[in-house]
This record gives sequence, C-alpha cells and structure tokens, in this order.
Amino acid sequence: MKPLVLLACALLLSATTTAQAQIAPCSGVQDPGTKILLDEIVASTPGAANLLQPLASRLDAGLLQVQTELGLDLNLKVLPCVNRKPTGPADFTRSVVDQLNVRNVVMEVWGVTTEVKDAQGRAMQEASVGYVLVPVRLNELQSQRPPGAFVIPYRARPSDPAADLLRLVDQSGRLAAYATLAAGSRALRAAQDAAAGRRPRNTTDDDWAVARKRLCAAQALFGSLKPPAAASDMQLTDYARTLASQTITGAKADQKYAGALKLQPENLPCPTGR
Amino acid sequence: MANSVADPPASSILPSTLHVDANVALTTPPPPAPKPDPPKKKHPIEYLQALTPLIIAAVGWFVTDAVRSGFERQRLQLSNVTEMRDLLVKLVGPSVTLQDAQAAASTLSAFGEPAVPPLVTALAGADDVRTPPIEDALRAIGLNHAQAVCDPLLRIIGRPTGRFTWLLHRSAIRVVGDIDCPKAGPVLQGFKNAIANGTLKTYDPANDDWIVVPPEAAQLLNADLDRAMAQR
Repeated sequence: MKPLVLLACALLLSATTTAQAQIAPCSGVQDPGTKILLDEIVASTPGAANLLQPLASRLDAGLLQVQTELGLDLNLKVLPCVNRKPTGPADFTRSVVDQLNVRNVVMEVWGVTTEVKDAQGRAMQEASVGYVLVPVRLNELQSQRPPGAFVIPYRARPSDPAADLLRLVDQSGRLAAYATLAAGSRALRAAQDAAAGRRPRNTTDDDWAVARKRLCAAQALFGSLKPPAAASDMQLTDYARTLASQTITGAKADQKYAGALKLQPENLPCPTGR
Repeated sequence: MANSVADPPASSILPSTLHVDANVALTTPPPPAPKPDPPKKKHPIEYLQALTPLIIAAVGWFVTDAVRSGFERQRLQLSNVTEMRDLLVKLVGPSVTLQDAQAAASTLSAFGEPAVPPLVTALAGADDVRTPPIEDALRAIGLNHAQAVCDPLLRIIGRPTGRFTWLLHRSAIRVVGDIDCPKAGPVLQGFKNAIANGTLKTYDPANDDWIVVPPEAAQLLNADLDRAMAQR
C-alpha cells in the first residue's frame, strides 16, 4: 500500500509540475539584436517579480563591465520576461530552442527560490537557477555533447532581496562566462558556415578571429569562477577549449581566409588570465 | 355447298335446263369502317403544360435547397467565427503559454479551411511561443485541404515585397514544404534565386521599411528552402 501511495504522490507532483510549466511570450524577443532572456524568478519573497526590471538592468551593467574588461563586443541585451517560468531543461525542446535561435536569443535564465531554516534555525535562501545556452543546446540536441541546459543549486543567507536575486542569477560571474561561451559558439558556427558557402562572408570582421577571441574569453571566465565548480561548468570549460582550437583548424582549412589565424599552430592554447 | 357451281362439262351434251339448288341472299355490304384520324401532333407547349407541375416542383426544390444551403453555410460560418473567436483570443493574447497556444491552435485546426485565414494572420505576428503551434495547425489542415493552405502561403512567399518579415517567409516555406502544394516549385525556386542574387529584402516592422535580409536569416531561409524543394 505504501509504495502505491508514494507512486500516486509522485504522479500528482509530476502532474502539478507539468501544469505549472509556463513558457510564455516575452515582449521584445522579436526586436533586433542579440539577447539574454531573464525569466521571472519564482520567489517566496513577496514582490520579487517587481525586482525583475532592476535586476535586468544590473545584469546589463555587469555584462557591459565584463565586456569592457575583456575587450569584447557582444552587444548583448538582457530582456526581463514577466510570467515566463520554464520548469526545467526538458522544456527546451528542439522546436523551442530553434525559435529562440532565429530570434538571436543566446541564453535564457530562470530560477526558483524559497526560504528555508538551517540546523541552527537561521533563515537560508535555497534556490535552483536554470540556464539555457541556446547555441550549445542546439549542438547538444544534435550530438549530445556538452550540456546546453542545466540547473545549478544555490544556498546562501538572505540579505537584501535585490542583491540576493542578483547574486542568485549571476552566481559569481557565471552569467558572463555562459553568455560569452554562447556568443563564441555562435560566432564559430557563422565562420564555419561562411567557409562552407552556406552564408555570405563577413567582409568587415574576421569571423574566425572574433570567434576565437570570445571562446578564449569564455575559457578565462570559467577559470576565474570561485570553487567549487559545478559539473556542468567543467564540461563547458572543456567545450570552450575544444571550440577555441576548432577556430584555428577551421581558419587553416578555409581557402578564402587570409587572416592571422592561418599562421598559428593548431594546438595553440588560449592566453591564460583575464 | 350453297354457292358452289359445278364446272360445265367439256362435252356439248348439256341439259337444257339447269337447276341450281341455291339460296341467294341479297345483302348490302357493311359500310366501310371510318378510317381513324391520323394522330394529331401535340404542340410542344402542351407537353410543357403537362410537365409544368413537375418543373415547378423541381425548380422549387432546387431553389429552396440552394437558399437553405446558403443560409446554412452562412450560419455555419458565423458559428465558426464565434467559436473560433475565443480560441484566437487565447492564441494571440498576451498571457498565453506554450501549452495553451498548442491546445488553441490544435483545436482551431479542427475547423479546417475556415481556420486558415485567421491562422495565417496570427502567424504574421507570432513570436517564439506561438509560431510552432500555428505552423503545426496549418500543416494539419493542409494535409486534408492542401489548396486552402497552399494558396495564401504561396502568395506570401511569392511576394517578398509585401509587409512580411523573413520569419513569416520562413514559416510559410516550412509549411509549404510539408504539404502537397502542386504549384510550389516555381515559387520556391524564385525565392531561392532572389536570395542567391542578393535581391531579396525583408520587411522590418520597427522601421516600417524593407531591409536586406541579414546573412544568418538568408542562411536559415536557404536551409528550409532546400528541405522544401527536396520533397517535391
């Protein structure tokens, strides 16, 4: 009898979770430019939804700072998406990710947070934050290589609600690392497609060099994350390293390319440090 | 035999008198039967007169049926519009979720041909959440009523200078590629040529103007065109 009750509870819980899955439209997703979608953080703190817009602005500022530091031009914009509440990586099917990709969305972030008490009875903030790196997820759905959509658990003592949310979403600079990797992966795909004649070549920028710069920057950002590193982070670091080496391989094989990467050795590692 | 007469013998020894035992009756022949009149040819009007009730009944039935069918069709259309309205409001409303959009679009596809115009209109402004369910609904209708879906979508593809974004063109190409559109070949080829020549422009709603299709969009359109044309 007991297993049956447990099974019924599990089914009920699963049904409730499915029913609450809400991938809702996000205003601004049709706008031109590269975007990061910041979904509503489902929080036990009252009024957390009202913090979404200020949170998006602070993330924008944070990303801009990282880009300036690294000399990158990702031209990313963080869009707050009220009422959009994915339940997990499984919501990001091929069809959903494809639609995000064609609208220049490189990443989506969502989260759930609750307040719990620790063993000493102190209030703690427990959260799960989900990330989808759209170009990586597209690769994952094709070849199942790196995780393109994953959830990272989080636990900290609550302080100021806005600061908590920022800390929660950014997670010690993870957001910048993910965004840079997603942008680098996209740039590499563009360079590969141009070399294969599937799209017009960019005449103003060196596609291969842009991709390498971003991927090396992502590698450096992953390296600077505070330990302990999540399992997904380690896989993504390896992925960034692999893609960065592919930029040189691709550039050398590209017969119409005459840029600097053509002369580099294939096993040239990315420069270390930020 | 009363009226039989023996043949005279050939010899000349004939009696002087000849008694004939016969009864002679004088009868008058019956008057000849009057010749029946030749059948009079009927005038066509007479036929018409005879058939008039039948004709009136047939015409009356036909007209009544046509009028009744017309009324019923209109009533059905009105009923469709009324019933589709709630689903369309849900589909294009701001608070729709992916699951709701899938349910609404799927139900709309059950209306068949009448659902095509509103679905195409909804597709024109659809975002990442609404586009896949609407494409699926058009695909579902197109499998049974190909012409109803092909006509508007081919008109959209064949008119790149219309107020259609490249995302709408992409969706139209994807749906046309999946259903049996007999006239799709030349239209798709024309679109592909326009991309190859670099003459294709797309509508930019933000500026209400037409811009050159960005390279990544051209690449996506080309990939879908290749898939659609490979299926012909």
